[in-house]
Amino acid sequence: MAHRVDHEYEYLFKIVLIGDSGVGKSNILSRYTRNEFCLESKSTIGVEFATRTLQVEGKAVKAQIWDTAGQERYRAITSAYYRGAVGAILVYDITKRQTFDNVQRWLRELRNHADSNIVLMMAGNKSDLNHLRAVSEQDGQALAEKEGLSFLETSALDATNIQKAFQTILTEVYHIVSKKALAAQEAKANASIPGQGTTINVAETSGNTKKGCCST
Amino acid sequence: MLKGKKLKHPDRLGVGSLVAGFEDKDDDSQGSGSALDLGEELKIIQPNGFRSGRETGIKMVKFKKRHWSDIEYEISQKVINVGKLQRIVSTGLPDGGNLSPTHLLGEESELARIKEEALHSNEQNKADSEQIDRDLQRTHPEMKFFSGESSFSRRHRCNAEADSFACFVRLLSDSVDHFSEQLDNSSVGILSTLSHLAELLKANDEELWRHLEFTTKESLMEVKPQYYAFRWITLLLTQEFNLKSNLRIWDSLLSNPFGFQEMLLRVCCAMLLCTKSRFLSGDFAANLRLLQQYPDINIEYLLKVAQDPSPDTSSYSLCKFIPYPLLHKAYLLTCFTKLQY
Repeated sequence: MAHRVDHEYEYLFKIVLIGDSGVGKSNILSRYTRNEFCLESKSTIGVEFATRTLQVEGKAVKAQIWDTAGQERYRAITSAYYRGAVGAILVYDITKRQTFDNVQRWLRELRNHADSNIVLMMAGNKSDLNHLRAVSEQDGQALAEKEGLSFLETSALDATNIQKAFQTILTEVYHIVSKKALAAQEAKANASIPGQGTTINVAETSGNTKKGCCST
Repeated sequence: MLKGKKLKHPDRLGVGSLVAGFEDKDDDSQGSGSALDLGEELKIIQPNGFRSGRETGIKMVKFKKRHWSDIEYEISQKVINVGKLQRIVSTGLPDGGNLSPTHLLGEESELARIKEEALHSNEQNKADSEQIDRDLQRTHPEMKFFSGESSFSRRHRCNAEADSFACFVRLLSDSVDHFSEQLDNSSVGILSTLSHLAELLKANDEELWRHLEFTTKESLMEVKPQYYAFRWITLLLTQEFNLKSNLRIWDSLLSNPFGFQEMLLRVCCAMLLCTKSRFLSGDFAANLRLLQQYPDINIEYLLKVAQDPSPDTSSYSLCKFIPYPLLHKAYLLTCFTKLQY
């Protein structure tokens, strides 16, 4: 969802916050959009929603942020919320190893339900609780590199890196969208020039064929 | 069942100027009870059945006593007329009264069994009960539920917890299908209930339905019931209103002849109808914010919109008849009332 509309902003980007229950997604959202933090916030049921308009490389971008319920039960329903999302921040809690181990499951979830071009960022939240740390920053960094995600440790409580996380992902989305727009313009201009066909990924196709062959 | 059923539109009710004090049952100077004229033969209240909201405190006390004695009388009958009892309770239960919970529940042996189970499982699952305490605290921080320092004796506390749990089990049995993942795509699952709500809205106000589904200013971004009503329905509106308003709404949900779930959908639909003008002028973001942080409104007015004064009787056979949760609600309220003092 990257419509250009004639309002007070030029781009509208939908970003989803995902991750296990209790990692602090709702507080990341409230810190970013309202500069608020609540230690005893209620569990998110279904989805919650907030917006913030910011400048990305001189353009007004409206971020529409969807905070989803982390509880396992709601996954079947929350998957509908990924529709149209151009970015996702996958949050874990640095004091709970399990929430980091589940990052892989969330990545699978995204692959199954979200657009394949979605921009991903991983955030290790609650960095203010360093004395309770169960996941090292290096582990986070290593996983992020392996999966090709950008990575930051954040704290919704003391606001560390919250702005930066959103700014980073929105800038990355902006680059992709503006590049696409540029490419579309060029394609239009070059439509008459022959030899500019679609690249076919041969390796992938042959891999699939092999699989089919072995299974029969 | 709900398809095509019309609620009375708020604009056509002519009760828009209802006195604000209706929401506040505790306030002796106003209160829902004082404004109603309930005679021996109680009827479902009609929009024009309201009198001025200003009545004397003495009359209010009298009404409360009579309201309670009406309930006590009905329950003391050998054969309880549940329809009549429902009508009495649908206008809200006043605080106080001397009803014994077990008396109200009328099913002592089953209650005892569930209570036993609840107490037993509490001992076994300390972590669970701690989590419940935490959730209660953060859901309704203004309420002193089961704080350990309260003057409430330990024995009472145990009983109240177990009693409430027993009621909760019965209440949940009516909405359990919404929590079952296997039923998500079935006709009784949460997704189907959400589309029932959309149908109900469409039948009652196609313009509003169309606006929410299609014509928000940012195209392709329809306001789906999944985005707001999922929480409304699964949590029985507990996050949308304060506890006092909720108890009032629950009175109507549990005592309504349409059945609990249908009345819940009617209330949800009424919530949409009552804020129609704001939706029509709002864009996607504003509308979703409004739906996720529902504004303070007059609860009596909301319930009036939700209640169809001339229901289609042909569909009554499809409605589930639920006398038990009604009794449990009265019982739960008694528990809550005790806990507040």
